[in-house]
Amino acid sequence: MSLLKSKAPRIREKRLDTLNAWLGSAEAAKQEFTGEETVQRIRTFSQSSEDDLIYALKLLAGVRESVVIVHAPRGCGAAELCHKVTSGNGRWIVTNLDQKDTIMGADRKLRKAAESAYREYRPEVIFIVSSPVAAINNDDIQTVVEELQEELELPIVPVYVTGFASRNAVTGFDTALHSILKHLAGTSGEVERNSSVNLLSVVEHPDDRVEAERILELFGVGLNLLPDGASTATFRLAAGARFSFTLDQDSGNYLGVMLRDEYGVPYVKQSRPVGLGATGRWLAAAGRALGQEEAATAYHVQESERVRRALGDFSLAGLRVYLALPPATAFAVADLVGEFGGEVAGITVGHLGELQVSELESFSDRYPTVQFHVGDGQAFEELNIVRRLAPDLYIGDGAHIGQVARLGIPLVSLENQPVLGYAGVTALVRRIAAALKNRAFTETLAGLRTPYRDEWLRRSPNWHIKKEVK
Amino acid sequence: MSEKRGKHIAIYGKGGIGKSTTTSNISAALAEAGYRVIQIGCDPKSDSTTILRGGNDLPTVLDTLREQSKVKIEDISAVGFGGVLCIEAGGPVPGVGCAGRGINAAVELLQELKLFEAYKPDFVLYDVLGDVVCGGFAVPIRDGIAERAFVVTSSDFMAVFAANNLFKAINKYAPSGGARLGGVIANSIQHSYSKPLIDDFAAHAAVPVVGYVPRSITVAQSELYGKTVIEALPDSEQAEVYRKLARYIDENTDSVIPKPLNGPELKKWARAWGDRIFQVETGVVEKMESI
Repeated sequence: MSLLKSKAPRIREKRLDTLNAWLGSAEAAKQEFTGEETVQRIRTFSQSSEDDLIYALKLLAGVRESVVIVHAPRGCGAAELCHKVTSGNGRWIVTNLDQKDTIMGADRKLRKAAESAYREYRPEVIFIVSSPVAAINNDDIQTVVEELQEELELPIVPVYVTGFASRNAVTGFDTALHSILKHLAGTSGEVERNSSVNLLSVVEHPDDRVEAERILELFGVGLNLLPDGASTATFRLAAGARFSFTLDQDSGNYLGVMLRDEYGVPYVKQSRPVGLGATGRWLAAAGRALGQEEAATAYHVQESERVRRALGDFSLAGLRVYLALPPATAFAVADLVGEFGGEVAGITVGHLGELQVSELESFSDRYPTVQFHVGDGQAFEELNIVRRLAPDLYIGDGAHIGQVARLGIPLVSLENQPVLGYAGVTALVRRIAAALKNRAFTETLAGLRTPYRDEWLRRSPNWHIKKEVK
Repeated sequence: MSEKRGKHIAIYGKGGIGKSTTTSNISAALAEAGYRVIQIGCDPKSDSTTILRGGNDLPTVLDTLREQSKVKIEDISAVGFGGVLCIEAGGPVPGVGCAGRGINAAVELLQELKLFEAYKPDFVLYDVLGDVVCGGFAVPIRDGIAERAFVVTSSDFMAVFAANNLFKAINKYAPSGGARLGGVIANSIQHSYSKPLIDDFAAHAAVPVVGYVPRSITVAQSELYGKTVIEALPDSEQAEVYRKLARYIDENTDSVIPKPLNGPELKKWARAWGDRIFQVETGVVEKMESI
């Protein structure tokens, strides 16, 4: 039976043995995943974290000619303001559930919101995103979806995030992708095979998308970019494509796997193309799939040369670098640090699971003692760790990077910055060089206190991370 | 979501109307006829399958979830009379939390444990708490869990009123993939007017009555022994009534979308029956439909 029949995919904890709280060496991290099942950890204190609703909204903001209806109290729609800035695409309406709606059910409001979205924007697709309140009330979204679809004659796609079912916010990507495929890709029986190739891109910087397309031009294939920048027609095309390439194995995993399992589109395993080495490997994998490996190698040699010339004698030799990034990016940037002669001091990732096992294994072969911290939004733990490790450079993208600045460490934020491919390396290295040279900013901030008590900073950073014992 | 095996049927009806008793006896009768049956109690009281298990304790799904992170099917089920697999969803303690969400979570967990793939039942009966007061309790009839629902009612007005409300819920969800109504099970038939009253109500709501279960001391007696009538008094007439009901459910797959009566209609209907019954009581002799 098709896995797409269910309302939502299994949460990451279950589907991909994913941890969201952990601290230990790379070697120990590797060991966590060798057993039959990973032992989940819990936090006895959690400072903040994002949820699957926010991630689903992030992803959907990239779909063209769409409107998102956030079926929630008004606060849940606030995340959209941030996405509007980053993606420029997002149009949304919040149904603004109030007390009455939680008691009586809110189908009428939902209907009204969808109809007004249609009238005002004439979109090609309307997404209805559920929320904690709608989930707890078991609000009936399905009936509204069916009635509206008939009435308005366009796809209405319900996305059943709950905000509490998973501790890993990245589950929101999976849930949104599940609904997109279920409602927009057609059934596997209807698929028309074509000669295009998919490029799975989930919430990438627009310059990164351009760079990826530019690189892949060398193969002369028609590309479907999805879900970022896709229109509804793209999903149908994608279901019949020759291959799926990916820019991020972790974010796009569910899409690649389901296109393969439900629609027979082979999913090419690739590293995230950040840094010269990883970009080369990414390109080589694409070349192999298309039978153009030689052309890929030649291109990579040529581009790497060009980049190395541009970067001159830039080096990270003698420098220890702390990384706080999403898992796929973290491993790729760790490679990049090594490429330029630097050393990884430690890594914070938002989640760590089965998908990271092979990268974890190669990483721990090189750096078995380097510390891995798994936590999303746990600035208090990260500050504690980074203070102890005292790296020479910090590369991160968390909302709390401002707090890290107060430690006086030169830092580079990757949020909303291009990092992929050859253009990405150049851009990133330039920013790192600038941060290492112009220290005035962080040195000034170092005069300020961090917001954490000395008591906490003296404690071991995993004080609040425990094995789940019932 | 795991592979669905067998026929999934939800049983609803006013609290105390005899839903669990009826469902358990139907399960027992189906098992006796050689079918593989799972009965899932969807009531925080967790008393649906008691008479199938000789009154022994059974940890509920939600209690077990509270205690352990890893739950196995064996932890939350017990094999009862005739091999019926008994499961109780359970719920929060009275006055706390949300039982409706609990039903939702329990059903999801059973699907995740691939219960139906493992056990391969012919029938799965969901015995659902009487008054569907919020979205959670409607979960078995929506989201494609049960294909058919049966509503148990007696001739008491409160039971009929509850049945009419249940028709509203079914009416709402059936068009978008929810369960349709298999029919009404008339329970606790004891007065001369009981059967005609229920028949008349069913006719107004455009639904069939699929069986009539008389009020019988055998039921009370068997229950006191912690057993179904099928187990305790297999040769009784009452046991035969339940077997007939089970056969109906087995052999018939018809289902309808009910037409619930609105407030004024129901009131008018009830008054008319009030008049008829009063006339019976006061011995008025008049040409009328046989009562």
